[in-house]
Amino acid sequence: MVALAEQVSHALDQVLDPHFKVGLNDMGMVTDIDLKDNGQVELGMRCPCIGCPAWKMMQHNVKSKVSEIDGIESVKIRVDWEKPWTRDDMSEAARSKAQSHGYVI
Amino acid sequence: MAEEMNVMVEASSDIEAQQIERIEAGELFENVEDLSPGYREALKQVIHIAAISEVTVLTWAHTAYDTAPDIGAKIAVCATIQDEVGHAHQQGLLAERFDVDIHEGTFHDDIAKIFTWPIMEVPIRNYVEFVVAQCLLDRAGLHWTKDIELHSSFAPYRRTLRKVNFEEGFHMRHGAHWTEYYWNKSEETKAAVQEAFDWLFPHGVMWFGKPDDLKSRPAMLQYQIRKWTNDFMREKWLQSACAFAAKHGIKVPAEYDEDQKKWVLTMPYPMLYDAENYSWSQEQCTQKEYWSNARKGGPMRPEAYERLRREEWGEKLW
Repeated sequence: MVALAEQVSHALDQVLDPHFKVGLNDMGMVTDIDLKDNGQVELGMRCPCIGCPAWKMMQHNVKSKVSEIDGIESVKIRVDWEKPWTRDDMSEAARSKAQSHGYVI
Repeated sequence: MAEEMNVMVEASSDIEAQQIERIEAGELFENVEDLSPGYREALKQVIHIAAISEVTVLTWAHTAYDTAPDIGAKIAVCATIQDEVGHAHQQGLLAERFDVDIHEGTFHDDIAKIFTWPIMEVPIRNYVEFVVAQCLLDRAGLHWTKDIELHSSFAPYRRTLRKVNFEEGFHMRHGAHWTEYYWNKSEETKAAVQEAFDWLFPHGVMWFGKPDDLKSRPAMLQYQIRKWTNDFMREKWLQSACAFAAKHGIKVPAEYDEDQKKWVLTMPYPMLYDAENYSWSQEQCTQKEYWSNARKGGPMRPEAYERLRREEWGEKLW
């Protein structure tokens, strides 16, 4: 189960925020990975921007990428409204990438 | 617009020659006062036209709103419009440094004077066309503006375009993502994507304006407002757009030439388009005929520009 969780997390690293081109984990957008015994995974996600034009696109990419993992039967995404995203949730790598685009975070 | 940006400025005086010499030596300029009269005039024209052209995207993009299939797609259309307002604002602020009244030019000048990309006066019929337009035409726009960010000898223009390109890059990726999605969703949406490509791909080819051999005294290149020529950008776009299409099996009027190791056009170039019927003549015409036809405008002229004036957020609003 741990190995599978690592695979899911690795898959989420491969899904990029299409603005910053930084993985969703580094962006601090994944709040929770809940693996069930039946191969179902429920992901908690939050978005830096309310009304983000890429939100649907990112969810679509997450489902596609995580579904490719052997042992994952279905992917459910829960919007984690109770954990609002802040700039502090970004990793140093993401911050550095943002700076390269001229954004000081 | 690219045709309009072939601005004509004499660069024969000693002052202009010295300025060009400094540019060729790699100097970057920060202040308008550092620019020779010829350079200043050329840059003023380019930024002015670019700022107004960004505004013309607003009414065009909005035609996609009604057919956007869900709230996420509608947000994407609105976000595009908001981004383009930002791009116009950024470039408008820059234009003001050249004493251009961008507000007057955008909202009060004679509508007949406005010339933008021809496609901006043809309403979008469905959301698939919107995402394919992002995939193809934002890709074209990105080549145009990326050149300025990378190479312009006027440093403030480089910085302005950096923000613009950051967002244009997202528009292109958004369009590519959903183009792929609709291409694979159903036979009906696949046909809609192909139809959108058939209509928009030639507009991408024409996006970069006249061929290099028909241009004279290109001030944009002399002063290195930009570095890449029209043909160079068109070529870069063609390779990029064709690679995307080939990856997914979307038909485009181009083929891969094994000898040249690159994609080459198979469509007549240029050819006339019918703005009312969303079709291309498929017969070669002259550049003069193409631009003459483009200047007639599309079905959204003049209504789109009248709408901008009606909805102007000026002093009266507050």
